[in-house]
Amino acid sequence: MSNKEQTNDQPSNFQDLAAVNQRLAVALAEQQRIAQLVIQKDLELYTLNDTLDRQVNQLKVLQLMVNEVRSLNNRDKALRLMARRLVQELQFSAVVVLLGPPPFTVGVKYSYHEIDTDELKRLPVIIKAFEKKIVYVDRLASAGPDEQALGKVLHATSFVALPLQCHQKFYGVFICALDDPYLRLSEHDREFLEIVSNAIAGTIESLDLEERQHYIDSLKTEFISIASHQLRTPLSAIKWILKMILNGDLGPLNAEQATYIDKTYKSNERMIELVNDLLDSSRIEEGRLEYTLAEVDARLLVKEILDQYRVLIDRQGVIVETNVDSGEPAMILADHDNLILALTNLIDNAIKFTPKKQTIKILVDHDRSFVRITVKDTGIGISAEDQQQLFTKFFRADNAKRMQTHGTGLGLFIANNIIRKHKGRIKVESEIGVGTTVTCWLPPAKGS
Amino acid sequence: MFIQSSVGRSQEVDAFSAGQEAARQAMGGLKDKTPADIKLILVFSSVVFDQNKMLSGVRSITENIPLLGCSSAGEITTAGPSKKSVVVMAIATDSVTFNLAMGGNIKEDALAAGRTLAEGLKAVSSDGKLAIMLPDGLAGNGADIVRGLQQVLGENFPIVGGAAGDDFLFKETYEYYNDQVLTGVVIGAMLGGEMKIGIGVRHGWQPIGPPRKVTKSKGAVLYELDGKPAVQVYEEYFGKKAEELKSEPLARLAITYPLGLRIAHSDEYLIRDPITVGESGELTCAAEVPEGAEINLMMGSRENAIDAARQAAERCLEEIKEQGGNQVTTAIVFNCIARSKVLGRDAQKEIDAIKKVLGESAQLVGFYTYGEQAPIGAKNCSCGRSCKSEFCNETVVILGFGE
Repeated sequence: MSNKEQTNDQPSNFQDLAAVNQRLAVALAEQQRIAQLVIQKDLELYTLNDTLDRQVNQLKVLQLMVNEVRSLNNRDKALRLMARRLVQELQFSAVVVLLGPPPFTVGVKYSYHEIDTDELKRLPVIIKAFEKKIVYVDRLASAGPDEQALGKVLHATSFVALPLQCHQKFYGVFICALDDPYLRLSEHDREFLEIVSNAIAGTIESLDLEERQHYIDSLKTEFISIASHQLRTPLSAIKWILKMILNGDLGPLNAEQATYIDKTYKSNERMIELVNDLLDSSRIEEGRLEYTLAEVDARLLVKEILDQYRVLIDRQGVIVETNVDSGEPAMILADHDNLILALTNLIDNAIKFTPKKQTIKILVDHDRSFVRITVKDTGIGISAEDQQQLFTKFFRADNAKRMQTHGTGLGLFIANNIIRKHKGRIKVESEIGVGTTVTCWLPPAKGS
Repeated sequence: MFIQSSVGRSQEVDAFSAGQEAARQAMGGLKDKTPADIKLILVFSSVVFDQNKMLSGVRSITENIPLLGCSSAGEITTAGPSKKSVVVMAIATDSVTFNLAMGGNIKEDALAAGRTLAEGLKAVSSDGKLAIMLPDGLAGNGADIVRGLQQVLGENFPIVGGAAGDDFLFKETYEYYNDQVLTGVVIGAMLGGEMKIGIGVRHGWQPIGPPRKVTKSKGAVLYELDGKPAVQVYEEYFGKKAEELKSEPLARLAITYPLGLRIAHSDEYLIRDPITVGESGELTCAAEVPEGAEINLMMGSRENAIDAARQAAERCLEEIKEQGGNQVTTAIVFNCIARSKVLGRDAQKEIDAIKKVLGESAQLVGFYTYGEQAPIGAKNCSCGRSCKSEFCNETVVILGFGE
């Protein structure tokens, strides 16, 4: 082994090592470069995901808001619900809806901080917002003094104030704020909030309309109620006077006079009937019909009505078949007078619309656990179309109108209401020219 | 021998109402239990609420039942994750005992704070088997606090917990101890009596890029990596200048790309979140980074995070079954905020994955933390599992109670 050989090995070892080192260094640098790329891509992905998440959440909340509000008919409740969703489910810290024009009233204020709404209402930027000058501050630090004032009241660093507009009408101002020191409202957020303000304006408008409608309806009902009351007295007076005349209390009448006075008496009776029906229906609408429940036998109710209608039945020449004179009692919990009224209307209809010599069947029996009252006639019938509107106030079928020129169209409306109030059900089956069957089911009195 | 719990959650804007509502729901679920059996109330809350008002609201319902809790960066219940909420869990049991204690100021001396807590826990419980700790999330070296506890309780004493959060603002976090709202301290509970518990810990983060050496560090402050200012590693990867990185707490940008320390005798990484950057580019982390150690940048993904959660839940259930239990009734989840950030809307999926494993009868409560504590250390214990507790980041820690 010479020195020369030894010396020759060393440089080649060093060279190998140096080469390996070199390759390692390159590989590491490459690994570093790739890692950087991966992380940058990952960051991009993360930012995109974050934006996507935000927008999906916004969409979800918008949908929730709109669905929930649909079933509400109170404007304040609706506004509160919408504000809650925005603040709780999204990153906003405060939502205020001011109803205009200025000076505003507060529709809703929902916030984690105390907001002085009196001061808020007076701010010039808010008044300008109502006049369509949108306020959009994404960073408080770079905003003007007017916007700074708004930021202070809202305790927020980023916010918008948008006019609430629907169909050319302005309802107020929608304010939404963010108080996170690191987040701010983006362009996307602004677009979303513009959609929200449209939704809010739309909700306010439709609820306003509904409210106005209800108000008008209640005025109508009140009017009918008052008018009917006022009419009752003079009509009663006429009735008694005519009765006296007919009885001969004011002197004898000749045949001609008697005929005309009789006609007048009957017309008056009809007017009294109409006034009573109007009063009943308005009482029903206002929920003022009084109910005193007691155990009654349904058969006896029907008997009472049939007794009263004896004269009319004979006059009309119709035949009434009934089972109320025999069989088991059919006990129900009912208000005597109101249920009589309901059943009278049904039986009245049957008698009126059935031709001479035809049969009307009135049955009281049990169907499963219910007491069932059936009024079946062989009268003019009701068309399928008209059956849809049968229980609507003032509705009279065309064929009914042709047969009987008078009639209020309130009979079935009242009957339906009363039966429902008794926790019962009413059903009408009919065929034109064949006849009509009206069936009522009423819950039995307990213990029967 | 039973342990049952019930959870409540509220998102009212009024702090008192929120606390009250959540507590009411939680207590309502235990109506059929003897009031004397309700042993512990856990409360986790967003910092959007005035903390004192919120706690008063809770106490208005729970009264004198021992209460432990802290502020969070997001809350968790059986229903899933939520933000801007208060969550309350009421635990009823006839076999497990919970005894509370408080440690000292972490900023002054994190080690001593841990020791004081441990001494307090030892003093109130003669048969302590596991400690739950809730340290302040921003006050100091989390690992030192754990070490302080271990100095008193023993190196392999199981310690589980999470560091308080504050909705990702990194300003100030709070701890709730009975009726007090504190800050900057560590609080805890010693669990004794008879219990079947399981602990699952996983993170799912993977290393990326070449490893670097910690050439200069002191405690939780990392000065230099491979001889260069530590913040440069983030500058290189994020492509941002140091100035930008200093304007927001670094934690907000870097929490999903933390630093990972290889654990001795294991292929697991112990993760350290960087919280702030200093003037000379030094990184203050949630817990210490030892000088001379090798560090990798770590990257997470939604899939890996959900997988990790499932594995943690499986491990937890496994341990309970090993002790003869059939089902998990109560679980406390300490979930790192970084996971919530990575998962985004899929955060619900992570909780669902945990629920699926733990079963229908499990009630969950938890929060998103700025750090977790759990046994993931060296496997040198005779029971065969990793017993040494460590302060971690990016992990999901599930503490389950079984029957």
